[in-house]
This record gives sequence, C-alpha cells and structure tokens, in this order.
Amino acid sequence: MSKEDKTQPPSESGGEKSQESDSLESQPSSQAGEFQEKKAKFSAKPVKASPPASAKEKSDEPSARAAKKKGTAGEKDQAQQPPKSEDSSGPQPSSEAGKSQEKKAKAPAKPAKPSSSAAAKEKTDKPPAKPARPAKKKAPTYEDLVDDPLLESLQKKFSEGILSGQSFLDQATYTISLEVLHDVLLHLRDDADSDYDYLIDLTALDYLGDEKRFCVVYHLYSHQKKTLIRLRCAVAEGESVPSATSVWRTADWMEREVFDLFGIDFSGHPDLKRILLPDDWHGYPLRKDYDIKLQDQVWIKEHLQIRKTPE
Amino acid sequence: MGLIENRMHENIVTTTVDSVFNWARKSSLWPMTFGLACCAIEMMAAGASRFDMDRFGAGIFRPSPRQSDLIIIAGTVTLKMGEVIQRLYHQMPDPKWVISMGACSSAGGPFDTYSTLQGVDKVIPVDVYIPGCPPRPEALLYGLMRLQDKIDLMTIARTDEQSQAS
Repeated sequence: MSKEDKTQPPSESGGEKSQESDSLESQPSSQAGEFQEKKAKFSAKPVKASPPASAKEKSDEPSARAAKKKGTAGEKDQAQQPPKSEDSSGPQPSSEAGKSQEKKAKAPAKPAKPSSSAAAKEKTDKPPAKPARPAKKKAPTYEDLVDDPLLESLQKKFSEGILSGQSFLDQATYTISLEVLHDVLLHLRDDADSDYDYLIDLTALDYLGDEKRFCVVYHLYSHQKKTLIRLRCAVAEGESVPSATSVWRTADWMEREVFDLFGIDFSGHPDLKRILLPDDWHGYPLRKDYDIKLQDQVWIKEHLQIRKTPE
Repeated sequence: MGLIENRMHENIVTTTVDSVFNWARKSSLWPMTFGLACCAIEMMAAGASRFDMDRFGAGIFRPSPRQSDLIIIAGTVTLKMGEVIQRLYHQMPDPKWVISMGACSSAGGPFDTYSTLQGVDKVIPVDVYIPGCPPRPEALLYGLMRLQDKIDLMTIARTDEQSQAS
C-alpha cells in the first residue's frame, strides 16, 4: 500500500517530508497549491470531504488492493500508529483502505478507526493543524552576529573597514572593505586571540549588475581555536586587490586561479598568470557574461589546427 | 608457440606474411598510458591481476610515445591537453592505433563546456571507441580485442589507399 508505506514507515519520514515541503514553501505561490495538495494527501486528512479527495480516491484503489496483500503488516503498523501520533494520523489516510482492511484488521485496529473517522469528520473543514507535527522551520537566512568577540575586536581596530558581521547556519561571515583588507588578514593571522593560520580557500563571486561587481571571498581556519570564518570583500571591475601571498603562501595559486577565471587583478602577487586555462586564452570564463560553451576559437585554430568546434 | 609446438612432425607450414605480421602486431600491443581522469583507474584495474591485460600481450605500458604502438586516451581531454595529445600522437612511430576510452574522450562526456574538447577524435584519428563512464575493465579488454580484430584486416602489401588501418 503505497500510502501506508509513506505515512507509516517510521514517522520520522513524515517529519522529514514536512521539513522538505517547508523549505519548498518558500517558492512562489504558484507551486504552493500543488504542495498543499500533496501535503494533504500524505497528512491525516479524511478522504470524503476534502477537495483533493478525488486524487486521494484514485490512489486509494491500488492502495486498497495492496492493503489486502499487506494486511498483517498494515495491521501492526496501524496498531502502532495511534500511540505514536495522538491525532491518529496514521490510520486516517488509510481510513478508506482501512475499511477494506477492517475485515482483516481485528480488534487493535477497530478502536482506532471509529475514533479516527469521528475526528476526521470534525476536521473536514479545518486546515491541517496537527499538534504532532514539528514546528515549521524557516529557511536559513543571514543573521547579524551578536556578541561576537572577533567582530568586536576587529571593529575596535579597523572601525569603518568592517562593514558587517553575519552568520549563516552558524558560519560567521564578515564583510570587509577593500582598503583594510590586507591589514585585517595580517591581523587575523598574527593576533594571538584569532590565530588564523590556514587559508583554506580564496575565491570570487560575480554579481553582474552590481556597482562593485566582484566579491572576493576568503575562508580562514584556525587550528588552535578550531574555528572557521569567511571574509568577503566587494571589488569593482578593474580594481586591484592586495595580494594575500605575503600572509599565506597558498594564496599564490589561489589568486592565480581567481585571476584566470574572473580577471581580478592582485597587486603584489609574485607571478600573476593563468593557471588552468592556456596562457594565451582570451576571456574569463567564470564571469556571468561568459557563455558556458564559449571556446576561444582563435586559440583553437592556432593550437589545435581544427577549423571550428561547435559552439 | 604454445599452439603448435610438439604437435607436428617435421613439416612445412604455410601461411601468409600478412597473418604472421598481423598476429605479431596484435599480440604485442604496447600501450602508452594516457590516463587523464577517472578512466585511468579502470585502466589500471584492467592492467592489474584480476582483469589481466598482459594475457593479451598488452600489459607493458610504456612511458614514452616513441616506444609504444597504442595509445589509450582514458579520461577527459581539455583543450590545453588536446594540443599535447596531438604532439604525442605524431611522436608515435607507425603502425599506431588509438583507443578512446570512456565517454569524455569519445565525445566530451558530460562536460560540454568552454574547456573540454568534445571528443579526442577532433585532434587525432581514433580506431576504437569504448563507451562508459567509466567503462568496466572487461569493456576495455573487449575494446582491445576489437582492435585486434581490426589489426587482422591489415595487409603489408601496397594498396591504393594512402594509409591502412592505422
């Protein structure tokens, strides 16, 4: 019985589904109706009176047939359901199938069924508000940091340079202006309180259309403190970012990669040249205005001696 | 010589020069490893003991193109590497064959992007294509055997065509 399988298998999956659909609910409302229908199908709504009843009845048919086959298994699960979820959300979806199953389902299921159908009729018109369901979780957002010692110490030292400190799913992200970037990086590495000795990654983002088009991102990790932070710095096109090579040597190749794919210049870099693409390639592929399939035909003609590759 | 040793009395065996040459060539295909990406792992597996490639005579992987007569392109070929592959192919002495192993080298695979060559046959002529992502070692051995069949069709006599199977 497909429905039984979906509602019953440990009701954790029910919880999971609600979480999934909750995150999906942030999508445009055109899809909301569909999701509401689907939620109604899998939640403990009575079949008779609710609008998605027709859809439910169709699925009830095969489920009823399957129920006969899986009578005993369903019976056990049905018996378990009432104690698990107080709203008898388990037996309800199978209320119609439960009827066909009733003959097989003996005493344990019976007391559940009449109460469920009674409760079901009450809830015909109400929106599904089951206390058993976990509270809706919002989609994660950027939240401003509060009481963060690192943010406070940075703000004390570089007052206007630190534009903001935010947290996303417990990941600290600091937005810094370009002028203080190099000093902040040095401070983070050298200061005993914030001993960030490991530059994990240096990358960039392209916000095409923004005034400051690129955003260079640094991920720093401290082995002593075991903390990981993220620094962001907005950079306009044509602006040159101070190189972090003097702070962490790995920044050497990472900046070359950023230069190769975005075209962001790093001042003070020992040897800024392309690292992944061929040296005489034209264009910066990871920019938003560079087509994913665009290949440098001039380079191809020169080096590969093939006339043309399809775009 | 295991097939014919000690089986016949002193005798005269006739065959064709072609079949002897073809038998020699197909039974000792020394590949140059060109493992670029994931297909290389399957190629290593094919060369290892379970799916032994050496029983086909093809287990001697040469590091240099000048000493190999087969090149197995195993993995994704970027444009930058395509240039290198062309050069290596030209460095291989005749007769030479090319096996394109996997989806990436045959047709670009799932990577239809700015950096990937959509099929190594855009830069070198390929004899056998082995589809798969990655192809199983048995698939590579099957491709090898099909290449051996292809070599069987060769002749050392002059033909009207410029080049033969290679």
